[in-house]
Amino acid sequence: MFPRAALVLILGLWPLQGAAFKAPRVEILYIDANVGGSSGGHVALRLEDEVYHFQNEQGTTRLTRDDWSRFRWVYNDIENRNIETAELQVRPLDAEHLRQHLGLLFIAQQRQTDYLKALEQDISFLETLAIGGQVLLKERAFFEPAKTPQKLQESLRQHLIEQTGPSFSTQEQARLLKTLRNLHYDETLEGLSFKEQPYPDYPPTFSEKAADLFSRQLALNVMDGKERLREGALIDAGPLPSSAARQWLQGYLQELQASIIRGLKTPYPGGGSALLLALARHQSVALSLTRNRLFFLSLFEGEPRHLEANDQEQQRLEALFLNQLTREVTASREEIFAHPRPNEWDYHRMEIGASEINELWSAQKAQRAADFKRTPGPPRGEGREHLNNLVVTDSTLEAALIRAKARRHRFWEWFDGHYGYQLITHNCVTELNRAIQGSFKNADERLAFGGHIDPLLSQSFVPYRYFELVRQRYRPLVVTRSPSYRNRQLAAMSDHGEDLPIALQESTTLTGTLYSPRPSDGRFLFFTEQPAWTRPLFGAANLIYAMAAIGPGLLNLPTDEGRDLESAFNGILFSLPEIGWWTIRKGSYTEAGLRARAVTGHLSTR
Amino acid sequence: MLAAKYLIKGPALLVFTGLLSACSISDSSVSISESLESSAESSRSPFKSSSPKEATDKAKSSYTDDVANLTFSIAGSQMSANDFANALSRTAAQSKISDWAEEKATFTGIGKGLKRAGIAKQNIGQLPYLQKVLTSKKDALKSIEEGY
Repeated sequence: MFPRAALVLILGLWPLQGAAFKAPRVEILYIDANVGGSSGGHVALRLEDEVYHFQNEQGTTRLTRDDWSRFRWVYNDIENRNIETAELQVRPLDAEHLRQHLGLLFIAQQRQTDYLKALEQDISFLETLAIGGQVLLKERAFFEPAKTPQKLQESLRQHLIEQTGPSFSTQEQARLLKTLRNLHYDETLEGLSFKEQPYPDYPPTFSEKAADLFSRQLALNVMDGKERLREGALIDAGPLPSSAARQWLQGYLQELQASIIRGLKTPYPGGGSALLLALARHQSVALSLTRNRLFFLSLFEGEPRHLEANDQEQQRLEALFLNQLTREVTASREEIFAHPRPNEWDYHRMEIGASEINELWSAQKAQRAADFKRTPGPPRGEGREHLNNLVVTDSTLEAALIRAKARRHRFWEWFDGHYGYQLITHNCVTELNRAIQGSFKNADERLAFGGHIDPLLSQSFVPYRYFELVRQRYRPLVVTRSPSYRNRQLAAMSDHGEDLPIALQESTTLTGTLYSPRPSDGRFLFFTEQPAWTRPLFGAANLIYAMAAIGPGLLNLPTDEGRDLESAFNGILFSLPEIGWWTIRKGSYTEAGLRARAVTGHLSTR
Repeated sequence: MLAAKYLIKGPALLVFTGLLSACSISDSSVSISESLESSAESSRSPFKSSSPKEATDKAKSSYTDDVANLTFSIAGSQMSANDFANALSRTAAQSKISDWAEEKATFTGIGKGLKRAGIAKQNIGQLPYLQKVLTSKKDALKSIEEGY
């Protein structure tokens, strides 16, 4: 008979075993080549819902972490690339090693990049001070001097006085002024260690300290009613939709109030920026409640960049997209307001929605392409300011500037040595490979993945070749392919019959309905992905088509800053591999255009 | 030696990779906001495809991991309380959080990181680099212990 104790033990351990053997999702992704960002292809590592990959950021291999759905949206849909996925069999413990190691690399590189920027900011700060100019400060542009005392902050001010006493503001202003006047560029910080450490503990730089002190001074001025929120920094997002919205905003106002008072009472270096943002949002929410309309800080600041010409088709798509986006943002807001507990993430999501709608409106009015710039964080509100209270003599400035440049140069050399992009030895593939290996004992992935790929051997630095080696050496459970946006739409159209007429119509950029030509894709006439035997012939036709565009490009040179000519040359460059049976160019989309296509059932009017 | 090997074995690959960039270039003209989500199944609108709660939960989870990693990596160091607060502020900003003290995930993440670093639970209150964090909120220690 089976011993009872053993049975109990087995039954007791069963759930634990289940948890231990829950297969984590670990996948190596190969992203097809296309014109533009990664014309040689790209690779990434997916861990559950997060994707880690290295990008070339101005000559630096930068570890990036994206949500899987975002990653797929950008690469598979907007950039129209096929994605191949090798699903690996990895133990939960090994997956955890990968997650922790990549997570650490991510925050450490972020800190190192921030530090490099701060050292560069030191130089520009000192140079600006030398000529008596205005320095660039975050959150400054949210506020402007108030002509009359402001009422919006009254309740907040009362709370602060209750907790800190009536003289807090005066005493704090005096302390800040004294600190600012005593602030000088520290020339003794020579002993910065560049040794490998998980999270580098760099001291705040001169410009960071000065900006922080100024932020606190400004925050106190706002509290005292001497400065007020600049209405030009706000987007009017329409009437407050419901009483639930009012309640939600009142709750968020309380949270902001607590945050502001804490920021004032218990300061820490680097906290000034958060304090000012909380104040700007506080005034924005207070204004929303007072005027019964929704106001948000704008995320898209400054002049839009010229992305590309906005033709009629694009304008039509963007108009449709604007309607759709407005509906979606409204629905999203309602869902947020129905949630009883306000939080910053949801509030920021509403800021994004309002900013995107506002950008589409402005783009339509100006008949330009919408420019949704990346928003790496909360609204920035960068503005210029004279730092009159910073007392620095000319001779001190000169010496400080020399030292600051030397310090920046020294750090840059170290940084470039570690992260500098090199086509063969330090690219997105070699760095991902090294990061994977670094996750395991002795930097060896054999035990976890069942095989080894040397970053410098077997041409593993080439994305496609690396993926081939993954298939051979890591023994994936399964390899799948996610067709690009255009390929998915083509397949869906073929499912409805009439294969040949559709294939013929969609094979050219002039007659196809699934793609609108974009100058950044280069001039081309034929798609050459499938069937492969057409590539040399269609490639030659593409070459002639692109060459024919050189003449008009030259004519337009004085008016379009060479964009048409660049498009023609791009067209020529990417036609050459096609003649040799290799296809890179697949066409791509814009965010607004693609989202509008989803609204219209994917078809253009052509 | 290695370079010679490449040149012998993969001349064709080198010719092409010499012309092309084998890395995705980080370019802000890829017009998508980081916080927007889109469906894994189709090209639907980012705003439509995931609920605010789902999006927030995902963002929270990444942020908690970042704070845990940060805490783990400085656990044995001499970092000051002010510098740790500053480091938290930087990490939070990456996740679009302006005030780390207002976010419970900060404290949960610290707890997770301390546990991973092998810091005994009863010693948490005495850690010098945690002093600013512990005074930032009434229930800071409790929240850290919850994440431990």
